[in-house]
Amino acid sequence: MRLHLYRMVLILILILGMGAGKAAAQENTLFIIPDASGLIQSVKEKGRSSETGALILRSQKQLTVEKNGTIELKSYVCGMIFDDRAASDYSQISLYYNGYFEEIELDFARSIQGNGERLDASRDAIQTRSVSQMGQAKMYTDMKSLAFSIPALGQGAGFEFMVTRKIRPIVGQSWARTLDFNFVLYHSGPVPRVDPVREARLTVIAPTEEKLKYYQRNSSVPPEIKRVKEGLVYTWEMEDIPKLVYEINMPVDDTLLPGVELSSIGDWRDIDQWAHALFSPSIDSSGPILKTALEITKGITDRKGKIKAVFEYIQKNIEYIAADLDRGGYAPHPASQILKNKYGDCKDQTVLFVSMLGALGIEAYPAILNTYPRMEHRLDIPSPYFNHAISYIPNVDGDLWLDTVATIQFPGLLWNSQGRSAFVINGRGGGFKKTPSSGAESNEGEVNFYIKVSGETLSMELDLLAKGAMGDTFKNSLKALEQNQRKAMAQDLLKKMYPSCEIEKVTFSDFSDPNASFKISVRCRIPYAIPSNSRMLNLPFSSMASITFYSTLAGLTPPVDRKADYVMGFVYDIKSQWTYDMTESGFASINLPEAEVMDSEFLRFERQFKEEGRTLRATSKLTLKTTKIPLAKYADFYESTLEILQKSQKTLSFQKREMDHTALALETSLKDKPDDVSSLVALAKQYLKNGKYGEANVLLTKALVLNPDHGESHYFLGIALGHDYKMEEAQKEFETASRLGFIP
Amino acid sequence: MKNFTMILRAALMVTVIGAVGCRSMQTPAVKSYLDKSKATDVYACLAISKDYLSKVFMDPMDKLNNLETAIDAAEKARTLQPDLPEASYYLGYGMSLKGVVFRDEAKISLGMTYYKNAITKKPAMAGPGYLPPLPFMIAVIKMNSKLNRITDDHAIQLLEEAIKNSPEFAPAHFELSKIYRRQKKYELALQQARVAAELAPNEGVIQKELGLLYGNYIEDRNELVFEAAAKKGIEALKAAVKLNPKDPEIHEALGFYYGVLGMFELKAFEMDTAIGIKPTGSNSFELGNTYLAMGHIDKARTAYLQAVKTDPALTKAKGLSGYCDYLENRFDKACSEFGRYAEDQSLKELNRKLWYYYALWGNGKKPNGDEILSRFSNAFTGNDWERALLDFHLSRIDETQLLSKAKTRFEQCEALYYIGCRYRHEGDKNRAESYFRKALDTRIYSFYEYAGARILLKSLSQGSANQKDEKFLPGKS
Repeated sequence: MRLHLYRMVLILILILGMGAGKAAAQENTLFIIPDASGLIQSVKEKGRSSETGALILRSQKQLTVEKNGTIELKSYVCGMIFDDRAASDYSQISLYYNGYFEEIELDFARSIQGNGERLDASRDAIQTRSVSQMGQAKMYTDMKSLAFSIPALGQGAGFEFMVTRKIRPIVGQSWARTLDFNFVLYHSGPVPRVDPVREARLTVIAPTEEKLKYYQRNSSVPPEIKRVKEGLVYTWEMEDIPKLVYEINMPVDDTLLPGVELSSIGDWRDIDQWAHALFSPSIDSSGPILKTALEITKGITDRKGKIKAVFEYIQKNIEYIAADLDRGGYAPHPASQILKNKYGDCKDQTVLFVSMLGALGIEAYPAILNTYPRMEHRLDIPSPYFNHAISYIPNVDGDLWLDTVATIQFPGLLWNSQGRSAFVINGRGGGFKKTPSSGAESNEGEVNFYIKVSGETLSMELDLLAKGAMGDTFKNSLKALEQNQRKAMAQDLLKKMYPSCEIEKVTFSDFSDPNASFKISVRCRIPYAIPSNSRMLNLPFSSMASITFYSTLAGLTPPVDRKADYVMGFVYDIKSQWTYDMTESGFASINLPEAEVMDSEFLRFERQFKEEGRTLRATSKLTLKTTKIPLAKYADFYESTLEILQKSQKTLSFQKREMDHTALALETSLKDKPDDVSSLVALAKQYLKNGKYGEANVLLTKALVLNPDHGESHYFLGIALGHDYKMEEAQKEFETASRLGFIP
Repeated sequence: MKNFTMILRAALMVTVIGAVGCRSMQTPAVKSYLDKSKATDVYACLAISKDYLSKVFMDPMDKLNNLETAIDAAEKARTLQPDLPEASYYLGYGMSLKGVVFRDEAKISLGMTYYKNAITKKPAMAGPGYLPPLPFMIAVIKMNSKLNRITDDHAIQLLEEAIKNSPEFAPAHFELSKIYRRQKKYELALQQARVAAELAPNEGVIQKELGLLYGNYIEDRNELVFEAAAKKGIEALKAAVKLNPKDPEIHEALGFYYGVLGMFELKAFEMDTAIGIKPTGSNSFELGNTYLAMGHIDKARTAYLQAVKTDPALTKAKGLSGYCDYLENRFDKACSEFGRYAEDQSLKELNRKLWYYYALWGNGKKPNGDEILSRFSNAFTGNDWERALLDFHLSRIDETQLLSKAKTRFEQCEALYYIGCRYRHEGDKNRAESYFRKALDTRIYSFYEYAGARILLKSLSQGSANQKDEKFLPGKS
C-alpha cells in the first residue's frame, strides 16, 4: 500500500513535473498577449504621461524561424488615444507586405472604451489592397496592404491589434528581417506617425543550428538569450522610447528608430549567387538582341559611343512599366521579351542593357542598390532588400554606372543613386562598389533676371536654368505636369515677387528630353512702375529668389527646434545674375555695394556688382559643400545660412541724372583723340566738378606725360590732389603751374 | 519740404518696386487681381492694400480714395485670415493715415495699436521691404501740415518711436536731425545725421545735410575742433557731390571748408563751379573772399562788386571793395567806398568800422576815424571781445591788455592783425611786420584779418626792397 501510495505520488510528481516543464517551455516560446485593459488602467491611474496625441503602451513582436527558413512573425500593439487627431490617424491601420512571399492574418483588432467595453473591428472594415491599384503608376506588383478600421476610437479610448505573418524565405532557405521597437503608423498624412512607446519587446526564436546575425540599431541593451527545446530565444526589451519627430531634410527614419536587423544569410556571396541565378537566365545576347544592338551602333567604332547609343535607345524606346505580378519583385523578365514588349522596370531595363552590351562584346553587370533616402546596407547583415537596379560597366574611362530609367543625360546617374553602395552581381561572389558623386559645380541652379527700365515701364526677362542633379530633379518632378500647370507655376513664381506684373510669355525646355537642359523663361512687364517725375529708383537684388526656388535653405528650422541631423541629397551651386539695363533711362547707379565673400564649413557665398556703362550686373553664387550637417553643428550652419540670406538681398539705388552733355561730348572727343592734352584737361575739369577726383587725376597725369610743361594740367592736378588732402604735392603742382605762367 | 519729399519717395520706392512692383493699380492686371481678391486670395488683398497705401504718397490728389481702397483690402485680408500680422499692419497703417487726414486722433491711435501689435508679432515688418514706419509717417505729415502742425517735442517723440522699432530707417534719423538743428541742438543733430548718412550712403540730401552740420563748429568758433569739423564736412560733401554734382550749395559749402583749411585753390575752384551752376551774390562774395585770401586783390574786388550787383541786399559784401582798396594803400578810394556805407544801419560789423578807421588814418584823417569809432562805441552792442577791440582803438586799453583778453586763436588773429595795423600807420614797419607774421601763425585762414596780414606783410616786404613804396607808409606820408 505504501508502495502503491509511493507510486501514486511518484506518478503525480511525474505528471505535475511534466506539466510544469511544458508550462516553462511555453513561457519562453508562446506569444503571451498582454492584458490591454490593465495597461490602459495603469495610464489612467498614473495620469497622462505623454504630451503626444497617442501613446503606445506595448509593442511586441515575436519572430519564430521554422525548419525550412519560413518565419512566422506575430506583432501586437496596444495604445491609448489622447486627442482627436490621433483618434483619426489610428482609426485606420494599414500594414504593408509582399503578397508573393508573405501571408498576413489579422488575429484581432479592437478598441477599449473608457467603461472597459471592447468593440471589435467589423469584418466589413478589413480589406486586403493591392498597392499598384492604389496609385496611377504603371505598376503591377505583389505589394499589398492589410487595412482595417478600429471602431469608436476617441479621446481616452485604448486599442489593440495583433497580426500574424508567414514569410517564405527569399534567398534559399535563409531569411533577413528588421524589427523595430516602435510602431510606425502609415496614415493619410504626409509623413508616418511614430508615437512614444512605454514598453517594447522583440523576441526571436531560432533553431539552435541557425547562424543568426543581428545588429542592434539605436539600442545598447543586449538581448537575453535562453535555450529552449525549439532552439534559442533572443529577447530585446526597451522602455520609454520617445516619439520620432519628422523634420524636413532629416536622415532616413529607419536609421533613427531603435530596432534589430536580423539575417540568417551566410554572407554576401549568397546574395550574389541568389541574384545571379535570377538575372543570368534573362540575359541573352543573341537573336533579336544582337540584331538590334548591331543596328543601333552601326557606324560607331568606339566603345563609349556604342554604350551611349544603346543607353539612349533603351532610354527612348523602353517604357518604364513594372509588370511584376505574382513574381515577387526580384526576378527580371527575359531580355528578348523586354525588347519585344518595349517595356520593363529597372531590373528589366538593366537586363536588356547588359544583354545588348554583351552582344557588342562589352562587359557589363547588373548592380542593385538602395536609392537615397533609403537606408544603406550593413556589410555584416546580408540582405536581399534593395529597391533599384542599374548597370555597371567597368573600364570605360574609369567605371561607368548607367541608369536608363531616369531622364538624364549620358553618362550619368540620377542624384539619388549617386554616392551609394551598389552591389554588383557577377556570379563570382559579387561585391559592393561606391557609385560616383558629382561636385557642386555639376549640380547648378541658376536664375538670370534681366530688368530694363524704359520710361515708366519695367520690362523683365526671367530665366530659370538648372543642370546636373539640380536639373534632373526639376525635370523629373515637373515633367508630369501639364503645360498649363507648368505655366501657372511659373506665373505664380513671378507674381509672388511682382503681383502687378503682366506676363507676356512663358516657355519651357522639353523636360522629357534627357539631353535638353532644364529651362523656364518668363517675359513680363510692369507698366507705370516708375513715376515719370521720380529721381530715385531702388531696385532689389535678391539671391533669395534663386535660393528659395532651388533649395530649402530659406526655411530652416531654428536650432532650438531641430532634433536630427540635416541631410540633403546632393551638393550644389546656386547662381544669380541680375542685370539692370538703364541704357534707355536717365538712371545711373549710385554707390555700388562692395563685393563680399562668406565662407563657412558648409557654405560659401560670394556676391559682386559690376557696372558697364549704364548697365549694372549683380551676381552671386552659393555653394553647398556637404550633404550632411550633424546636429551638433546645425546651429553654426543655421547662423551662416541666415547671414547669407541676409546678405543675399540688397537694394540697389539708381538716380536719375541729367545727362552731363559736356562730359559726354568730351568723352566722345577723347575716344577719337586720346592724346589730345586740351581735351584731357577739359574732361578732367568736368570730372572735378562732378566729384570724380580720382578719374580727373588719371587724365591729368596722362596729360602731363604727354606735355610735362602744361601749366593748366599742373594746376588742376593740384586741385585733384588737394581733394585727397595731398597738400604738399598739390602745392608743388600749383607752384609749377605758376612758374609755367598759368593763372587760373 | 523738397528734401522730405525726396527721402520719402526714396523710402517708398524701395517698398513699391521691391515687393509690389507697381506704382499704379489702375492697370488691367491689377484690376483683375482686385477682382480675384474678392474671392479668397489673402495675399492679393495684402498686395493691393500695400500698393494703395504707397499710392497715397505718389498720387496725393486722390489720397482719400486710395486710403479707402487700402483699408478695404486690408480688412478683407483680415476677414480671410484674422491672425495674419500683415493684415493688421496694413489695416492699422491705413486707419492711422486716414485719421491724420481727418484729424481724428482716436482713429490714429486705434490704427497705431493695430500696427504695433502687428510688428510685435512680426518685427520684420518694421524693417526694409515694408512701408516706412507708421510713427515716422504721422510725424512727417503733421510736421508739414499747415492746419494740423505738431510741436517739435511731439514730432521727436513719434520719430524716436519709429527709430525704436526701425532703427535702420534712415529718413527717421534724418528728420530728427533736422528738428534738432532747428532747435540749435547741434550735437544731437549731428549724431542723428551721422546715423542717417551711414544707413543711406546713397542719399545725397542726407550727406549734404551732414556736411553742412559740421559748419556749426566753425560758426561757433570752436578752435579745438573746427579744423577737424571742416575735414569731416568735406568728406560728407565729397560723397554728396558725387550724388548731386549740380547742387551749387554743395560746391559752395565744400569751398567754405577748404577755405577754413587754407586750401584756397580748391576753394576757388569750388566757388567757381558753384557760380557756373547758379550765380548768386553769396557765392560771388565767397569767391571774392577766396581771391582776397590768395592775395589776388583785383580779382577779389571784381568778385565783391559782382556780388553786390547780383544781390544788392547782400550786407556782408558791402565795404569789401573798400577793404581791397585799403590793402592796396589806396586810402582815398577806400574812404570813399566805406563812406558810402557809413550811414547804413544794416552794417554793424566792427571790422568794417576799423577798416574805415585805418583808411581814414592812411588818408591823413585819423581824427575823423576816432570820431567814427567813438560814435560807433556809443551804440555798440557787440560781445566782450569786440568791446575790447574797440576799446583798444579808442586807446582805452593798451596792446598788452588787448592781447591778454584774446583767449582763442580767432581773437588772437584779430588782435595781432589790428595791432600790426596800428604800428603800420604809426610807421613802425618792423613791429607791424612782426605782428602780421604772428597773425598768420594763428592759421585762421578764413578771416579777413588773416588775408589782410598776408597782403600787408607782402606789401611791407616789397616796400623794403623797393623804396618807391615807402611813400605808402602812413607815418611818412
